[in-house]
Amino acid sequence: MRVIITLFIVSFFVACMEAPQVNMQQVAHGQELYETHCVNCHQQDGKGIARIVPPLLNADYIVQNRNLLPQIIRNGMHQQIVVNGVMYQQKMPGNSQLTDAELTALVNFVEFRFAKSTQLLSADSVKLLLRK
Amino acid sequence: MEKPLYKINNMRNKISYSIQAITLIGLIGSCNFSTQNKLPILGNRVAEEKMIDGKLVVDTIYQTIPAFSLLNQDSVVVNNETVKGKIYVADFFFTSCPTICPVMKKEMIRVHEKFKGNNQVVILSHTIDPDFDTLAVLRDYANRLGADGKQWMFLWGERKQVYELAEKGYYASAAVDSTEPGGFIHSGGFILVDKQQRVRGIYDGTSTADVDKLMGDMEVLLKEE
Repeated sequence: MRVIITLFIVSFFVACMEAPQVNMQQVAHGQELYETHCVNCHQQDGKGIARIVPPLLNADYIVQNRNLLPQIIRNGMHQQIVVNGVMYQQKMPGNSQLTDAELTALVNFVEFRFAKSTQLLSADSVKLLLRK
Repeated sequence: MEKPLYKINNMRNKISYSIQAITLIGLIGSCNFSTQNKLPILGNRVAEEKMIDGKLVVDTIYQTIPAFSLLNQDSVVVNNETVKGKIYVADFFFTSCPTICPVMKKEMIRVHEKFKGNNQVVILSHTIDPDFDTLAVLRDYANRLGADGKQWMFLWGERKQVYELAEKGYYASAAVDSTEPGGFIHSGGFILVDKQQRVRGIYDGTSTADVDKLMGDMEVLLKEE
């Protein structure tokens, strides 16, 4: 029993140490933005809607197209995409009102919550990606 | 000696109040009970006097869905005959809607799943953007939502016809509005229609709680003659 408790405590600390670059305040801000702008279609659980709105949760597209996310949110998505083997063709509206800082927070929330990523983007790299 | 008397009076009062309270609660309860089991009939009604067996009888005529004729996603004509003797849920949407439609469709999926295969239940989703939402687009959309296209149909008609039907038949609003995201403004209601084509309820199609109520009311309506 003591071993299990020790293991649990150790793993807890390791898990915390592995993600030093996650700024939880920024992720929380991203969550607010997600709930305002994205939740209607992509849903609270990130599962999307039927074969109309693609999922964000465990989506291969997000892992493979990380650097495109800020652009997609700002300009929208107008072409067909395949997510986890399913083709989607519903247009996604862009949001040109979001600032670079807001886009950074939003992308990092999506990455952290739905792609379980702890390698989050800095505001500077988001700026660069948007200029591309 | 005064004190006990006062106590007795006080107790009588208490009992009397309790009885009144219980009666009141009972009355309120029975009111709730009756509204739960009988749905209101919405719209205008007119009293019509008729002669039956030489006697003057006053009959109430309720407003019904006006005559319509639209095409479904498989180019099949859908009109009042199609839904005769069935209950149905109607809504108005457009496939490229970036605001409330996705949520409405998610909620309608729940209604569809619950009554799947019940030949007494139909769902009619009307597009308010006939230019973009061609029959091919509607067919693909139906397919993507998991709708079979027979019980849950996606209807297409001339803009004017559909907008008039929305407003006059279903108390819904639909209009072109270039200031709105997507270019249209419309209400997010799910409209419940009975076997005699009378509107019996309007629910917020973006609210899970309201759609739960709709599904309960559909069960009530199915039991009506």
